[in-house]
Amino acid sequence: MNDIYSVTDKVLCDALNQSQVTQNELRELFLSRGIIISKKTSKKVLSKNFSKFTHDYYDHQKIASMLGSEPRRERVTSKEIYNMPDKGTILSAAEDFKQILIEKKDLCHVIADKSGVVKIYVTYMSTNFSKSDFKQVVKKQALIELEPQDEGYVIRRPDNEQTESYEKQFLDLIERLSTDKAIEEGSSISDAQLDIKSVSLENIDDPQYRTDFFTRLITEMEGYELDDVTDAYVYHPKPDGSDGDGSNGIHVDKASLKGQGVLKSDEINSLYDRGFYICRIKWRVIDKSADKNIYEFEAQFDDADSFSGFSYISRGEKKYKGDGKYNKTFYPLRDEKELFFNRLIEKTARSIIIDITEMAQGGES
Amino acid sequence: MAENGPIEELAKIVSSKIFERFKWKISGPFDQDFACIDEDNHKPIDKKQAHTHPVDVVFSYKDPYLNKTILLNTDLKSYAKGSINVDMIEGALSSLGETISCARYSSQWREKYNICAGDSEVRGLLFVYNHDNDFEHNFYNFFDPPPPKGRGKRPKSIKLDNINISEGQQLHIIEPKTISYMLSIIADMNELVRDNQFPREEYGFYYPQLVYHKVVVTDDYFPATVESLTAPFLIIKHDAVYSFNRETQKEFECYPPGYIVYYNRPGSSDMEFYYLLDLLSNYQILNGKNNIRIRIATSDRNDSIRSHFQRALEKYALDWNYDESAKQKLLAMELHLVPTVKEFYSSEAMSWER
Repeated sequence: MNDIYSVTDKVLCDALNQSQVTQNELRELFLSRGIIISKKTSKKVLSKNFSKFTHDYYDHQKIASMLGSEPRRERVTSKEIYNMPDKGTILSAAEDFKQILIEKKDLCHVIADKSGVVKIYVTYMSTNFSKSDFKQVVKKQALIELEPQDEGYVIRRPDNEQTESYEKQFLDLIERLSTDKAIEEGSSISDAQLDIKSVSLENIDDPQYRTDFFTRLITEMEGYELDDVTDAYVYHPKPDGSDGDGSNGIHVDKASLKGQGVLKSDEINSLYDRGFYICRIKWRVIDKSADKNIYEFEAQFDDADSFSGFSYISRGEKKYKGDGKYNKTFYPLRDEKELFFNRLIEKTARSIIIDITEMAQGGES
Repeated sequence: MAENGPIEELAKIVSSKIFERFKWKISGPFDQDFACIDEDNHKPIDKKQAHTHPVDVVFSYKDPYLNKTILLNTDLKSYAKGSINVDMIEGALSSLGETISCARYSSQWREKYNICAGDSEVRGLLFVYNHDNDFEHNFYNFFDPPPPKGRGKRPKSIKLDNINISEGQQLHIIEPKTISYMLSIIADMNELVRDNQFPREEYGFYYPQLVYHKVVVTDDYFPATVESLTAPFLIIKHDAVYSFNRETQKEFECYPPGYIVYYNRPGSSDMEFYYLLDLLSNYQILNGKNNIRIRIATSDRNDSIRSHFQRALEKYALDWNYDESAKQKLLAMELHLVPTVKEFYSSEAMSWER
């Protein structure tokens, strides 16, 4: 099923009773029906009263957004893929993929351009039945983007479970078509296997190297200078086979630091000393060119323990007004600019991974 | 002091031309005052004589969910374009809030207006009519004014915090747009009656059995509740229409029983109608058999309202896997755009001064 269901008065009442819905929001809901309520009337009574009114799609959407189920921007994750078949095979895999989605009543468009970029737009209903009716079904849009590099391709998508399974489905289809072709042409099947590489330091568990990854990522973006680090999340895996650092069963595995100049703080240094490493960071950079705009990003490894599942997001841009002054607020980036930074962060991350891996291996030998 | 004449006249027009069709009644006399029972809080400091609260008219109906008579202590107001301001509305609402706070416990009020048997609830109703039909100005902008163009100061707005309402009580507002919606419904009903497609008397407003709210009254034809008049739509359930054939000397059914949904939203997306269809189906009204008519009675309507409606029907039939005959039946559902009615009968600016 593709669309939302209407809700009963009970669901409506229970939703309005949630703590996220404020007395003021309730007051506005009533006002939209030409009703002015008493401030002294309890929320419980008001919710029940409102729930017996007829409501429509817009009321449903309004209440859903009060509960905070609005689809927000998601982090991006990407992988490198080598040994891809020709563009024609990729497109027919995309077409097969589209047919599968359409049968499931999801909406899907495939767009390709002459540079070899293939964009697959999917509109799907994301369901979570453990949540209340208002939050169970959210319409989401995802872009799965396949972009050719000098060698191989990069596949990029929002970082969530549903698109992860879409990506897998799509890559499986490519591989299957590629294998079919190999059989037809009489070449080896193993030649048709895709070689997929993701950004990760899974094999290197030295906390210093892992922290280095982030400190280098934020300083080595070409053309941009680090302005500040505002949030850093550090992680300390439990040592194998022990109950904690000592024998007393105490172990702290996560800590977050927020503020200004977080990376230069004594606090973070003392955590490093105890074996913590950075697993997530929020930072700002300044454009080195004349316009000096400030950009804010966030990057993390979803699995802090294994240091895998790299994802990132551009939080926004603050325009330079000249004379050392900036606009007060961050604005979301335009699509092209976002794509530009996606590429830059990926490229920087990959080259650091290669570097660190070499260093770590060099150090071992 | 209460003025005589115009209020009574306006009250009579409002009740006979409008609320009669929504099955409301008038309780007690027009245009009288009753003594305040909370002078410490309500009486102006400089006032010498005893404080009173005005009552223009009290409307009543029985709420089918609450099984109580709702008594609407009504303040009738009329104004010309541009002659109304934030202070006037805020003042009228505050005064109404104080009035119903006293009315709830006043024996004087009870004797005059609460003539019904059984449980009842007193609410306030501000009925505001704009007599030169200015619909450019949205009445609710007085509560939440749109930000000014350019760098001007944000206009003054009504502060809900300034309106003192006792716990558990509420005020209703029927403003020019709602009045136009109601007048359009009435004109449409009249036309349907003339065309033998709607019964003269045998209709009522429909209330579904809900989970937390059950219809507990057994009346044949329910009134419209005041909140249903400002809802996104209201549903009327009507009996068959009968006509008399003189030749055969027999009465015959000339129009089947069914439902009319009067719709009060612009219809700006197919999801809007899709959601409506889903609600109607949950109310057990949409079942492939009932005769359902959707009639758009609001003056704000989207240019593509018909195609949005059609797309919603098709989507709904597809999503629920309707068979061919069910699908044809659904797709045949009528969407009628009711002509907007703005006329009304009073041309006097009325009763803002007290």
